[in-house]
Amino acid sequence: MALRLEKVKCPVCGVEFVPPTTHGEVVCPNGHVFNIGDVEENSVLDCEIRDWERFALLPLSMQNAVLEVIQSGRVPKDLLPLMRRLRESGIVVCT
Amino acid sequence: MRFVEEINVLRYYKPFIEAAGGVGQVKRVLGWSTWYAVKWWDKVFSDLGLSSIRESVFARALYISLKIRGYVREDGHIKKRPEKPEYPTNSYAIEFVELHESFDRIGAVNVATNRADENTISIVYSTMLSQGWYKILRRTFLQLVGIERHQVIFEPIVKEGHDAMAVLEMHKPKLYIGFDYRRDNLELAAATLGVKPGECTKGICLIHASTICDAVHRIRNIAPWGVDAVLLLHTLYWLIDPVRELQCVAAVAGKNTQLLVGQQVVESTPGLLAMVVAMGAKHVFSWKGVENTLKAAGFSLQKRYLAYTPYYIAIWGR
Repeated sequence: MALRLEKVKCPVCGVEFVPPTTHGEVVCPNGHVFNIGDVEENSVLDCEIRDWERFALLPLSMQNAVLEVIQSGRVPKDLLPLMRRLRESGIVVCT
Repeated sequence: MRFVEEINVLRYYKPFIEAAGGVGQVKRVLGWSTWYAVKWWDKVFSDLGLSSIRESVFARALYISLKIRGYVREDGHIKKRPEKPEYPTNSYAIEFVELHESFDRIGAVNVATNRADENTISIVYSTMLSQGWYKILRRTFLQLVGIERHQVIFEPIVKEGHDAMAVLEMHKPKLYIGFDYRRDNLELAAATLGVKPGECTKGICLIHASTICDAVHRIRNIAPWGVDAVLLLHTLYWLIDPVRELQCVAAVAGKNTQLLVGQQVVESTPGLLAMVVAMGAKHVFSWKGVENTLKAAGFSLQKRYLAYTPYYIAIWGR
C-alpha cells in the first residue's frame, strides 16, 4: 500500500524512527510507548504539494482538508483514496 | 419540483436537507448543476458540433440530459438557458458547487476531446466521494433504506470503499461482499477498509471480476443462502450492461432480498451526471429509465421514496 511507510512518528514527541516491528507495541527513542498499528496504517510523513497548479483544481474545502492531513501527518480513513491518488499523480510527494 | 416530491424530500430526506441548509439551498445547488451542464454543452457544441455525442460519452451525457430536460433541441442548439443561480451560503451546498467549479476548470472541451489528464479526473472523482455533502447524502440514504436490518450485504461496484465504510460504521453485518471490475478501485477500497483485495477478512470480501455475472460463482460460495441486501447507491450507471448484470444479481439473491437503490438522474443533477460519466460511468438515466431497467431485469418496486430530488431512492425486490 502506497501510504504504508517504514518510518513512524511518535504520537507523543513527534520523533521519527524505524521501528523493529510493523505491528504491536513499540518504544520511541525518547521512551514513549505506543501501538504502532494505530499509527502506521494512516500516517504520512514529510509530504508536500509538488504540483500547485493541479492541486488548485481541487475544491477549496478539499485543498484545506489535504493541507490539514499533511500538517498533522494523519490521514482520516475516508481521505485515504484521495491521498493515494494525489501521490500517484505526483501532486503530493511524501519522502 | 413537484409538490408531492417536495413533501417527500422533507419526509424522507430531512437530515440531508437540514445539513445542506434547507430546501431552498438544495434547489439552488441543483440549479447550479443544470447551469453548468448547459454551459459545458454550449462550449462543446460550439467547438465540436453535434457529432461530439458520437465521439465522447461526456458530450453524449450532456446532450441526453439536457434534451430530456428541454434545454437542448434535437439539433443540439440551446433551446432555453437557465438563469445563473445565486451562490449558496451553506457550507455543504458550497462544496457541491465547488465540485462543479473544479470540473469546469479542467475544461469541458478538453474532457470531450480526451485531452484532460485522466489522473486529474480521477482525483476529482475521489474528491466527490470524500466531500462532506456526499458523506451526509450517503449516510441519510443508508438510514432511510434501513441498512441496519441486513446481515449479508452485496455491493456491486464497491468504488473506493466509502459506502462500505459508512455501512460498517453504522452496524456490523455478518458479511459484506464488494465487487468491482476496476482493479484500482478494489485496491483503494481494500486500503480504506483495511483488508486485502480478493480475500475475505473480518467479514469483508472484495472480489475482482469483469462483471457481476463473472462474480456470481464466487458470491454463491461465500453466501450460499443468498444475500439479504444489494446496495446500489449511485451504482447503476457504472454497470456495463445494467439489465444483464441485474439479472445476475438475481442469481445471488434470496427470496426476500432487497435492492436498495439510490441513483443520480437527469431530472435533478445533469452536471453531476455528466461529470461522473467523464469519470468513467457508462450510462445516463432518467428516474423512469432506472425503473424500466430494474423491471426489465425482473425486479419489482416495493417502495419508492423519491423520484428525483435530490436523486432517485427506492427499494426493489424479486
